[in-house]
Amino acid sequence: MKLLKQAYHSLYSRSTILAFLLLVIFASFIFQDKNFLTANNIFNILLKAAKNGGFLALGMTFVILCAEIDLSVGAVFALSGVVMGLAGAYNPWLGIVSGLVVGLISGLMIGFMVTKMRISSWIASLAMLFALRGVIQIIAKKSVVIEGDILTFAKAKILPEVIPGMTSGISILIPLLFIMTFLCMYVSHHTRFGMQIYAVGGNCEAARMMGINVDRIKISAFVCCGLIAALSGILLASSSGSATLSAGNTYETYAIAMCAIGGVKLTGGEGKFSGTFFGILIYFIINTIFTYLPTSISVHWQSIIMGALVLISVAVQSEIFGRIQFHRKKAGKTI
Amino acid sequence: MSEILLEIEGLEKSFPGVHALKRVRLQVRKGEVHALMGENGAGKSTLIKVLTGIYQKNSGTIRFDGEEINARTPIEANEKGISTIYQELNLIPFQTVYENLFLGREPLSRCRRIDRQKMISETQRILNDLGVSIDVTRPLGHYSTAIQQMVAIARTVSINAKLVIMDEPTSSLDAKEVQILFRIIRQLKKQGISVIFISHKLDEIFEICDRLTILKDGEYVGDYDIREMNQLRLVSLMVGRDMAKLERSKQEYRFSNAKPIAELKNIHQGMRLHGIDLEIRQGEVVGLAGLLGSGRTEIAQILFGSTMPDDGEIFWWGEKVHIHSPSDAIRKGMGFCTEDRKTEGIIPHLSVRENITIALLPKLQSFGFIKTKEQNDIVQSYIKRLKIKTPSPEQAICNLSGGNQQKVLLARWMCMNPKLMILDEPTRGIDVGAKAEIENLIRELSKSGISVLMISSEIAELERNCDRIIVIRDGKVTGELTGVEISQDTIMETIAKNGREEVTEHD
Amino acid sequence: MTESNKNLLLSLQKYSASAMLLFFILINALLTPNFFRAGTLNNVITQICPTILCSMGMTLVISTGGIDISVGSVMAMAGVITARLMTGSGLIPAVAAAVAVSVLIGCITGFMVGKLRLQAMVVTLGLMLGLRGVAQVVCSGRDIYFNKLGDVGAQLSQWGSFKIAGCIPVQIIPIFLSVLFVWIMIEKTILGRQIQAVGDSPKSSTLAGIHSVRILMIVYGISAFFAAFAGIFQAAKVSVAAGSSLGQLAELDAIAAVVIGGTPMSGGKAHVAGTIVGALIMQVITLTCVMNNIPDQYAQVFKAAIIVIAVFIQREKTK
Repeated sequence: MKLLKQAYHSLYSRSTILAFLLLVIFASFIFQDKNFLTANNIFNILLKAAKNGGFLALGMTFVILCAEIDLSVGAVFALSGVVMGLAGAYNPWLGIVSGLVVGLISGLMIGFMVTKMRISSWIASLAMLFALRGVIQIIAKKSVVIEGDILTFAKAKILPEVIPGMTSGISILIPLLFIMTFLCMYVSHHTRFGMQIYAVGGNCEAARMMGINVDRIKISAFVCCGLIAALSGILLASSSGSATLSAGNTYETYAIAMCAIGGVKLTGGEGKFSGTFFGILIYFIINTIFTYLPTSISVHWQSIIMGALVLISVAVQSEIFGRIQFHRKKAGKTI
Repeated sequence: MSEILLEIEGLEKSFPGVHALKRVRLQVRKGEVHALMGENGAGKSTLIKVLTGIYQKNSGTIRFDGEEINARTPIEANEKGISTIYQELNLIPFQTVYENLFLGREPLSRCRRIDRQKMISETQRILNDLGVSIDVTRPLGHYSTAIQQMVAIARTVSINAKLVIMDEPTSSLDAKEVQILFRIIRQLKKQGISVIFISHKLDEIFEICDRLTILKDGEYVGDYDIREMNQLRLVSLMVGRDMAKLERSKQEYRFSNAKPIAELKNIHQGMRLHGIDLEIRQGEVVGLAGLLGSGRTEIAQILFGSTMPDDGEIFWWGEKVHIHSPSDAIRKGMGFCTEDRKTEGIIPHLSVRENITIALLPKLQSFGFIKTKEQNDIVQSYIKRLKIKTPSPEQAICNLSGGNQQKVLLARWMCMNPKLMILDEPTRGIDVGAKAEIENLIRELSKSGISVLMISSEIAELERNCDRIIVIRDGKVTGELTGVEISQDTIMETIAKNGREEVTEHD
Repeated sequence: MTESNKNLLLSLQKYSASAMLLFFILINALLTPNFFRAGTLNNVITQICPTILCSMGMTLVISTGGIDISVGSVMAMAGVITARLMTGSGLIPAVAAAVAVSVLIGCITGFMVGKLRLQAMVVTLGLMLGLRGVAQVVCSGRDIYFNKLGDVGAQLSQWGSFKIAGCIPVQIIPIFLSVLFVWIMIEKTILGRQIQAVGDSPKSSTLAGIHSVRILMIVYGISAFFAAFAGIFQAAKVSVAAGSSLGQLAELDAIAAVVIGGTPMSGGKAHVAGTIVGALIMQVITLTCVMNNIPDQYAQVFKAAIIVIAVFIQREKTK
């Protein structure tokens, strides 16, 4: 009995990884003929994740861990690329820096609105989303072309001829995604800031009583999120050679979904960056699977499955399953 | 005589309309466990909140460890060495035990990394000193409330607290866990740390405390050595004699042959109720007496369907029933005025009119529309009958005084023509005038054949209004008084009786 | 703070949305040529229809303390289902089917929020993704143009372009009906009372015998009902049902209208009139920019600022 309970708990706490493994095994069997498990394909999936919003989910995790939300990441993602392109025309370094500044400012403003003006982060970041999408249209009328060696740094590839099937090497976006994930994991596990984020999200009042500067932690989390989103936008623009105005549209919802699938609790205080990373992988594997399917099956099933996954993952996070885990909770629950 | 750690003199605190603390004094010596006693509303929690910097005092002095202090925030009080363990634990359940211990002052190693190894070993050392051995790397939420409390205490110890305030620490612990807690409190005593202990359980006070201070209605009653005190004297000092001129109106018990309308048989629920048998007959006023935490409120909640019993049966008019929700109970003809008016009674931003009729609405409709005229008639008649003071029926209820809010809630149930009214602390926080009116109403209800189950900490109130009184202690019925037997003295004796035996039974 | 100051502040909060609307109209009166023409009003009516419909449902949902961010996707799904079915079944059965599916989904949402106690935000986020996919699947990822659907298509297009008495746009009817419906519900029915009671104090409401799960199912059902009609009317107006773009960001407009109108996000109060004012403010800002040849993007930035300011002014009241 005890063993069973332990087994349940260890599976429950690793449900994201479990889902990931199942998905990989399932996919590799079904799509054997499509070479699902070839290096080429794996790197393709990773590249897709790095280009299309994988980073955003990592940034979003900071904010969600604080029990807040940031709907503006998609807009920051697009704007930073555009700003880099425009400012980069004068000086490439200025371009990169000003792209990042977009994320910094956006994060600071949302953080300020949430902590000092006490506006709900949904409204504050929603307003930011509106505003930034407007700003994009104001400063650029059409896609901005990104030129020059420095600005297109993300086109670079590394390790040519090392990995079979990848003669020209792999895009540096892939190692960057890994580095960013490890960086986030490091911050969350080994720094005061990381530990205090969990405290703020877990029980804001208790954290305040323990002497933690709650406002500063929240603002920092929004800044992290904004900066990562800006970086991601820069990387996409830089690697594709142009910054499109509509880039990152509705990515905020996908970023939240990836976090939810990764087991990050949307009520804050619980979750891991490694979970988010697997959430990202699950998302993009499903995304890839849909390109294999016969055309008679609409690719839009993907969106339905994502929605269902979000619902399932919150249901798993909810009391229903949690109750089994926290069986020592005292009886006598009143309404 | 040992050194004095905390000395409060002439402390005054008032809120708009309430004089919460009147010249209160409190002395706590180094290394003693000091009980702070008093019924609800006596000013204990206000005193604690002033001491820990949540409220600011109006006047008076607080001397702590030889210097005068005036903490403005809990954090400031913390730094001075005063820590509080709240009922609602102020910890973070998802984080590990050791993280909870060190949050806000994490040790750093080289390169500004937090030093988890150090935290873990330190935590283990501190907990071992307290005699607790658990895996400190697991989330706090995995452990029982008792362990969580130990961790909270460990945290206060690790920040070199000199005074630990425990606000009802045993309210959610079982007998074994209480003993663990007491062992730790004794440990603290040995280390020279003082404890202010608040509890409503008398046995615990006598077991663990050295001295006690009693407050009543915001005033200092006295401080006593525990050895010169016994349970009966303590209860009477805490409750006091009611000086109001209200007289007991009931004499003979006339309901021996009345039909029982509700019966509870062998009800068990969690750690609160251990086999309750109870019968309410038609038209009588039954009082539930007992100290806070004895299980009084839980009985009411079970009857009204807001808590499910683990075991036992409920009969309604002699028929076995299952009450799954408050709306079941309401349909059967019950009404429940809860103890906590603010969060479980009024619907704060709706008007007086809505609040009176919210439960009646399903009967006041035609095709889903509210019959406004009938609604207004009912509301007007009850405002008149109960003398509810409100500028208009449209006033939001949160702007009314406590007494008037309570009358609105009574009206809510009275207009349903109930068979049984459950009143939990119906006169708490209500001024004397409104109190008399509400008591009159209770009599009226009983005259018109409605049974009343009344829960009150005020013994005088029970004496005045009840036909029969059932005494609850630690989730069990320990006595029953009817008709002429009822007096303040007999009630208090019954509450205080059998205390010691109960405890030995638990061990 | 003195008593009179406090009162001033309170009334400032109470009328801030209306004052803001008046202010914008005044500015337009001074700056925008031809602002006061029937054309302007008609323009407002046609544009504002989906926002009003969605925000009426959203007002109810937010007053229970929840939120429904799936309305945009429900719009798309309903619009596309109607377009797909109507060639076979005729217009009215198609609309009925689309609305029925939407309401069913709304009720399930209410069940998940009420009974399973999942966060409204997350549940509706899942639906937002999922239903957008359903819409896309139903229309096979292609936009359905009504002019290729023969008579039925033309009929549905009429729903979007017909002018009553030759001048008043047909959108006035759903606007009027939805506002009337929600207003009557809030003000006159027991359901309205119970909705606000559940939002104000769930504990007290349950203890007063209200079935909060049932109430939440109804509320989310109504929200989906209005969203479905919003989708159908919006599709009719542009004569095309596009699973990808129909109702995109509609939830955000609706939420903005509700919060500007003073319905607190924490629930307990529903300001129907305020929501209309909120929707109008957003629309007038757009219109002002259009009529003065200011690009729409500036309107968007401006709207964002207005939302923040409005919420900031009313924030004390919500606490």
